[in-house]
Amino acid sequence: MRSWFRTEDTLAVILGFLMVTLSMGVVKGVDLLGWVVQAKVWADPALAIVPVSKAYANLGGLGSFALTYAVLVLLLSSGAWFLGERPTRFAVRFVVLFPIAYFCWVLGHYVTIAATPDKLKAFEGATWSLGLTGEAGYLVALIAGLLLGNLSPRIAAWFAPAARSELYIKTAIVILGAALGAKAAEASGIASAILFRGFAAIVEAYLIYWALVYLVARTIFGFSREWAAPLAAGISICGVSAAITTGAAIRARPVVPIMVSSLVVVFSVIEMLVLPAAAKYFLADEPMVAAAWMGLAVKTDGAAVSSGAITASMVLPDSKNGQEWMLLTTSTVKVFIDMFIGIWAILLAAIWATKIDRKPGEGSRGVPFADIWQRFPKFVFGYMATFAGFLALGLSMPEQVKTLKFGTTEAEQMRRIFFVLTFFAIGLSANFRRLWAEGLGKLALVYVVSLFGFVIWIGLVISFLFFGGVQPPAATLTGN
Amino acid sequence: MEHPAKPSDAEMASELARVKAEPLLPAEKWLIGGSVSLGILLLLLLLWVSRVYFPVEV
Repeated sequence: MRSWFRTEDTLAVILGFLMVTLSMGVVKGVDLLGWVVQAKVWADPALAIVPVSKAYANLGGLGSFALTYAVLVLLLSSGAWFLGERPTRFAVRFVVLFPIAYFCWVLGHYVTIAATPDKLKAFEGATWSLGLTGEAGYLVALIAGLLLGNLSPRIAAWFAPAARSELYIKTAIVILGAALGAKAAEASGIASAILFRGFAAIVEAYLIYWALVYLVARTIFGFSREWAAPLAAGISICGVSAAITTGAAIRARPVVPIMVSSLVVVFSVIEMLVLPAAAKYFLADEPMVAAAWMGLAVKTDGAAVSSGAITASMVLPDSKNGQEWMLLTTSTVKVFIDMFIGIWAILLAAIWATKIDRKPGEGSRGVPFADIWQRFPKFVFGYMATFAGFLALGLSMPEQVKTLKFGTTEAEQMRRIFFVLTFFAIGLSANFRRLWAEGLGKLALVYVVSLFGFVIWIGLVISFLFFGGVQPPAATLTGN
Repeated sequence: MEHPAKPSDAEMASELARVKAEPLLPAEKWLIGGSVSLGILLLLLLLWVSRVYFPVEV
């Protein structure tokens, strides 16, 4: 099999399509994914997990957990083989990683942490709760990963082959495309308005953020061009993918974008912890602004979409429908930014080849199209395919929208599991000690100055300009 | 996406110590100025188009 095909992005698209296809069995009356484990808000541990479909109730919570666990081990170990890695090396680690991550997810569903005020009455003896909803499990997984990764770096290093946050979030995003496509079909007017506003994110990230961070890195901090371009891409566009693609475009040495990427992961964790909480307190009346802000300000796909999910559950804890619209907004903003990476990289490559790196008397250097294509985050095609496919189906057969939404419910449970794995893996790989490594302080300072100096504030202003006053449409089918 | 191996802290320190200041070339100034100006113009245009052609009922 060709090496360009055997990538994490291709694997994410295959896994995502597989889940979506299986979940659509219910449309034809065949429940193929109902055995997936689902966590519920709980006071009694025996009721904490159940199969997602009542058709599989006889499995019980533990049975559905065991089946989900076994299927994921098998699928993802095969995925490791697909990527040219040793499946056993992955499997041994994933077998340990998954129960820890899922335990964190279940812990986050504990009534005192998760129950919203309207649901609290259902739990006998429960008098108060933080009301964070079950999505608090993501934060529990993140914190557990951070503790493990930073207090026991050896354990984190051992987990590394299975702690693949990029693979997990890309798979989740492909699955999310189907659910959001079906959702968008029920209110196509606001969906097209949100999609159009996604173009503003492209302009902001590439033309405003990139240029300003590049200016700061070059003039205030004295970084060379080789460093400033990937650094600007990492801080302003979408973290790891953008830094590596830009590095390839300007022919920077591989060490440069990799060092930038290690910082991106650390800062995205800080953003994941701080920005959703800030959104909850300051943007409680502007849910769509909060959602767009997460997509614009938080870097890396995993951290941005995950922050969107946490923000949605914090800002609209009582409305699943509203949360879904918020998540549509965050993921639209993020995916629109991702889509443009290839074009931006080609543009930079051309400018570097013809204007910046060109020596007197030398001919123009070629644009490294193959490198750029290889490093382009191709999973966005998977997201676009599931989103556009379900949107088109919903628009062409409005009477089937309810069925399509029902069909994606089971895949959505799998998507949540991939989200949990993402949070835990991000925590494991965010090594805060790197901030204190010799010499890295200056790099980190560019990040701090840019991120907190203007990136999050410009992101907030643009979010207000484009999404201010917009409210998620009332639920039309779900009744939430 | 293939990720090259992570460098050690010592390798990172030596790489960063080797970074030399380079003057801002006219092409870079043009790139920065042009990007920001075009960005502001496009944002204004998108804002107008989104309010006129893709309004959201508030």
